[in-house]
Amino acid sequence: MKHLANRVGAKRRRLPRAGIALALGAAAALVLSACAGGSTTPTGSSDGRADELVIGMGAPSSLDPSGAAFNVPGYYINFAYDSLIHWTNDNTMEPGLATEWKYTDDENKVFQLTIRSGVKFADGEDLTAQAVADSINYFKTGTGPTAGSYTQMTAAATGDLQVTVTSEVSNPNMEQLFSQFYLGGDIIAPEGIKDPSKLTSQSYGAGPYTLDPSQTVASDHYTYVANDTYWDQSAIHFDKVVIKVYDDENAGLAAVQTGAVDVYTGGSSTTIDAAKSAGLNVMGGTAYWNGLQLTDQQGKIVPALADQRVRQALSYAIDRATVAKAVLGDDAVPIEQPALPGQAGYEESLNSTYPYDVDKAKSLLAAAGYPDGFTIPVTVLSGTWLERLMQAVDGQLQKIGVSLEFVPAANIGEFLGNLSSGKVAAFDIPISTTSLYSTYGQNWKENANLNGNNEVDAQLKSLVDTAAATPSADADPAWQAVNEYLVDQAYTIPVAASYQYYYLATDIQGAALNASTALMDPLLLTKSN
Amino acid sequence: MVRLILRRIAISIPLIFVVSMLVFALQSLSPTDPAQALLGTGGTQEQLEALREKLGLNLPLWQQYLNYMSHVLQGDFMSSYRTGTPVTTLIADRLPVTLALIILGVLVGTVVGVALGTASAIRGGFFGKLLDFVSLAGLALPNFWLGLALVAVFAVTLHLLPSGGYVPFTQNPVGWALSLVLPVAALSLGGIATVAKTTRESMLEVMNRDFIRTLRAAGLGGGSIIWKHGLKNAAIPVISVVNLNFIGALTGTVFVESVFVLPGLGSLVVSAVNGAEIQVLEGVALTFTIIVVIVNLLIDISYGWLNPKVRAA
Repeated sequence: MKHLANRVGAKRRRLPRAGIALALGAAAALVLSACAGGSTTPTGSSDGRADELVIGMGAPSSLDPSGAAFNVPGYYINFAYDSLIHWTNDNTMEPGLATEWKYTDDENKVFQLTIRSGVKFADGEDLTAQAVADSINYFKTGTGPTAGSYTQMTAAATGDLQVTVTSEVSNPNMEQLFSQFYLGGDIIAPEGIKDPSKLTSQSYGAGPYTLDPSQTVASDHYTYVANDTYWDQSAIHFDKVVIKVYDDENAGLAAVQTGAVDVYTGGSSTTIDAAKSAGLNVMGGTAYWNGLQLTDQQGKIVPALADQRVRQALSYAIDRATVAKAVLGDDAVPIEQPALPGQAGYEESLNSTYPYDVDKAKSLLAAAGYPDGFTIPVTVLSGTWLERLMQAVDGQLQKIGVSLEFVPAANIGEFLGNLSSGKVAAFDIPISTTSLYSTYGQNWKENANLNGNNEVDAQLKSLVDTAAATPSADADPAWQAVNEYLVDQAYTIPVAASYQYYYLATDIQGAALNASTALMDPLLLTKSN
Repeated sequence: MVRLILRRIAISIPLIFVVSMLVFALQSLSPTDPAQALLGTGGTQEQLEALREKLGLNLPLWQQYLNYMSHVLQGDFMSSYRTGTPVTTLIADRLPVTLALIILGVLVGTVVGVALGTASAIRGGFFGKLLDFVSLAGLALPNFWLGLALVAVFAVTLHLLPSGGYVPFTQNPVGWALSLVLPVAALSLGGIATVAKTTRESMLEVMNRDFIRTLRAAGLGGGSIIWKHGLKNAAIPVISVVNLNFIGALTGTVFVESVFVLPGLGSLVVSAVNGAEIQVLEGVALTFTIIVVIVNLLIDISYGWLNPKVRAA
């Protein structure tokens, strides 16, 4: 190299022009970053609203309420579409677009609502009983995960401001179904129903905000602007709400830390410690239960699972407290029943049905004729804490000779494909339904999407039908009977109730979680000045 | 030149068909059912079957492909199953982001790589060692890991730059630039390494040639010899590497856009794969094919400018 340097000549000591340009560029970048870094502090508008709320969360499945996902993804709908009933954080049902509601029969099949008068959709159309009925009847034709809960209902305008919903089967959950949680009560304007293709890119609701397509980029960020015709102006706290899509949890956490977003909704045990260390406000509640969810109670794939003693043995073999703490952290709660505290039918005593006892598990297996164990093919989303939970469960079950054979799924579509392939006998997915009735409809009912092998228990169906037909005020014992049956049969092996975490910037106020769903209502959020 | 362009266009038409068939075939091997991905966990089997029929997924694969291509030949690239947005709109919204990322990434990789490679060839010593280190880092470190590390240091710890997100140029040019600093850095490191190494080897070879001795004997300045004569003659292998870097950057955007939450074509590919949205994947694949064809054409033109012999041929 030295001979090359000598040949170039004596001018090499002078700084090359490229070097000067680089140095100037670096200096300019530093000045720019100093001037323009960080998030903008909202100044607040003259009407008392803060400028902007930015929420980070996963992408929506659709902006059409009938195709949208519920729970946290329902935010995309809730900002623009007001619901008939508001499910409040203290678990009461408050008037929304409906001011009164009741069952008018003894079997929980006929539900009547009175619509709020004087309300207009954001496009100026009046909210009428017919518009509400049309919206409900449209919603049930959708592709969203909750649309199926409405397929056996028909809505009709039965008065000027009266809508009657008639169900073919007893349904005790009408209040919840027409709240903002399940989306069927989020009413769509007639103009949107006339041409549903428009619903995927524009909003046609009567909510506190409207979607602004000009400030929206699909799958990246969605901007909602305040609706000045909303019937309750005091409920609007921001001029603008932006939802930014963050599919990666670490990126979402970094976004809150750097001020790019005010709230991130996708926290889990993976990042909770980092969030707490970073000094963020962290909120969490038990939103799901998880465990080894069996789909082969009749033993078509794994003959051993047809025996109740075998299923009970699996439950005895899992040290839930150890597994929950190791995989899900200190906040996880060991659980042995497919219901969460606060749900009808939940009994604390059921969490002591299967105390950890490896010897008992082995004796049950031996009595059932499987002393050497067997293998259960299970499908779970790869690379997630769900997979880690199942790996921990596998470690526990191996003490009694049972092992899990993992059939991985890269995404939810592949997961559901595995489930219905006839090759798996179990799965794990967070179950966030708000009642045993909904859980039954999702997991064990005939043709339910999570009933992968479509195995139906007539006794269970009978118990559920009885509970569903009982007036809510008297239904608790009936739901307890359902829950006790499920636990006794060990149709599913719950392990832990896990937390849904929200990470919030320190200037966010008004955050609280629903006592039953652990869902944070974003419409209640405000910002300190 | 005109013949060259026409030849490229003629080759690209069958290429586009081949790519579209390959993408369709590969996606059909995915175990993800788009209808189930849409319906999620709460639907029923009846809903699933009805949705598959509505989306045409119950048809044989060859028929699905022909249906798709008949739409494409009429200018309709169809719409996303999930959002209902036309694929052309999705691509038009996201293409500028990916192009900005790739162009800047390749530009930074080329400029820094050429500077480093030239300095290493001419001066050696410290620059030589620096080049070896950069080469090792560039080839060994995956760009998504580098991206996460850059976020942790410059965004989360030092609060100097944003952790992610994209600011359109028309909204705020300074914000736009800042939103691309870290993603471009993550994308360009591999390019810097390969360009620098190629530049060094090529410069060493060129600077030993007789015509350089002649120029020196004629009294020409060192800077002019290096930058005007040496580099120009050393450029052809470097241009080839830049071409390869550009193509590599196209695939690199899948990781970088996901880490930095950029609304480009790379992140669109990730969501389309998860949702088994074949029409979106086809649209992106065709877009990438056209970009590669155009870039190859520009590279060929630059060969002609650099080397008159190529022009004459």
